Amino acid sequence: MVEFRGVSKTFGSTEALTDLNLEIRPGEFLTLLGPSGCGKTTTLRLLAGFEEPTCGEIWLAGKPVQGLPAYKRPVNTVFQHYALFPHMTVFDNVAFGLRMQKVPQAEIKRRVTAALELVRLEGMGGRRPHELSGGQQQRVALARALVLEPKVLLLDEPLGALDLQLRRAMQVELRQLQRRLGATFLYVTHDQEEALAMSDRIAVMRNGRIEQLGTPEEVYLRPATRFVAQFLGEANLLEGEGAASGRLRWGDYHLLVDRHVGPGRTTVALRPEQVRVRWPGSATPVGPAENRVHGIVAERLFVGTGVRLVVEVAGRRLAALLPAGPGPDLGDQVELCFSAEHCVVVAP
Amino acid sequence: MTRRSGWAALAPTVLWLLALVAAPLVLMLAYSFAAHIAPDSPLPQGFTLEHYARLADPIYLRIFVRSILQAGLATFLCLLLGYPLAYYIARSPLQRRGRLLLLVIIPFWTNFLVRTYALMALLRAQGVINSILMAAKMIDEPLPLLYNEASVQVGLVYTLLPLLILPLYANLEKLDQRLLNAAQDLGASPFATFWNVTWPLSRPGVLVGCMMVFISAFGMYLVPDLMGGARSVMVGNLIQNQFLQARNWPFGAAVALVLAAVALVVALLVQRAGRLDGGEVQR
Repeated sequence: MVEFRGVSKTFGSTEALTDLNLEIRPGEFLTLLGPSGCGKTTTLRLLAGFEEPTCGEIWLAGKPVQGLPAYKRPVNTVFQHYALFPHMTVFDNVAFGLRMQKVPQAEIKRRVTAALELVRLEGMGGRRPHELSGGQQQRVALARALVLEPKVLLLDEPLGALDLQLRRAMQVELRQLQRRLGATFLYVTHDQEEALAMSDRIAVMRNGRIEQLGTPEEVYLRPATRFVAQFLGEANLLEGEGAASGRLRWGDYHLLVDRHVGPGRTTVALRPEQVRVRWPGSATPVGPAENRVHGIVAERLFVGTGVRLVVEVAGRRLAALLPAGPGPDLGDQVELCFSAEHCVVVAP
Repeated sequence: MTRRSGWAALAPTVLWLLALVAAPLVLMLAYSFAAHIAPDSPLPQGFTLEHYARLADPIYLRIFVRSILQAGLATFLCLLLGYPLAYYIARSPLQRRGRLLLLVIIPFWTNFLVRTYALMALLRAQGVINSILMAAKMIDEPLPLLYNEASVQVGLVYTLLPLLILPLYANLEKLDQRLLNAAQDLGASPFATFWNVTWPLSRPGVLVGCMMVFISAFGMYLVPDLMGGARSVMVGNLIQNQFLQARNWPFGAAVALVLAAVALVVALLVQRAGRLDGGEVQR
């Protein structure tokens, strides 16, 4: 549906995007995830037509879109702060795009009404945007873009201004809507939870490049780089050397990791929730071929869903997430077990 | 701050306004109804409506109508010239905006009278423009650039343009760039974006700017006096004439008050239109 081919964008002397290659499939919910300044919004603006690439090509529905101004591109955007027209009613806001296309009056009425129903704002057509709550304004913005049946809907941190509860509810709603319409969504966010919960695929971006592209499971469970491991959720980064056995030499331990490690410095990412903790009196079993390291509990933090432990292992610290229930105390001697497949070798 | 000390702080202003605005206005009102004026008293005597009735005379009505037309045309021309300029300044990079605004304001640093004479030096029969055109042999005799209705327009627009640009700029500067992006994103061409978003959102600024230009132009006396011909008398000139030449203060006062009333009505209409637009237009 959309293809970025070697797209770069520089603003003055700063490079916002470097050689971006990305394909968005029809009907896909693809998220660009990254910290501010990573180039995700620039990518969106390039596709929308608010910026032109410095080099490279962008293809949309089988045609290059270079030089096509924003108002001629068959994509629509839901803006971060909604950007609703304050001098128009909700109905007129949603009807705006259809009027620009000179759609007949009767059809405008029908389609706007349907779009408002779709976002559950029936009967709100006569209101002004400032009379609506943040969540409702957000839905008007969504209806305004969706009513034009864009080839791709671009969403620029659309939930950023909402409070947490509303955001969660809108995440579910957006995802259901996207599935029901079979529409292609390109979604920009810096919220990793949101990205994991909603996307078919996630492109994790940093410094104008895609660090990793994959399903939420892939990027979370098999991070390709240090950055991805740390940006999505929490990760222990174990730095060591490749040993002759193909294991990772980490302090005094030789750890089994998810692949054969060559010589030289190597970093391994390990999620705290994949670390199981054994202490005297615990019933935690030990699996076969598991890494086992020993240490002392240095920190203990109740986090609601469980207890987060930081264990000092020969001067290095490892975080582990313990399910709620009994656990070791501060200063206790514990054994940490984790399997090879959860030790993911990451690029620096 | 207590309520009482708040009033105390306001007292000098209130006294100032009472003494120098309200009192003269009341005096003018009294004069406009005066039957006659005693040479030895500053206060008007008697009561009559004849001065107001005299305004119905076609001679004076024509002056009023001409003033309204002249002021309306000047307002329209100021809008035509001022809107693109205000828009351009508001869309310029931040550092350049200050410099451009300065250029708009600089003429205020020179005396109005001096500027008007400078403009006349430019437009006179032996003025700069005519001399250049004559020297270039493009014309055989000087063009009549001064002392007519057109030169009055030139003077009015030149003088009053900043009054339109400044409030309009203040409005356009607040215009949310994201709304323009949104309009384009929804398929609006640059012109459609202007017509459907920028223009309606800038209406409060347009109204205030036009009001200021119109009211100032309507009562303007110096420009038509110096740059106009015998037939371009405006209300301001009529007032000046009644006070200084004809020495008919009561009639002059009546004309001045009608002028003030028209200005007030215009201001109220503009305020009303602004409210109908919705005070919520800008977030």
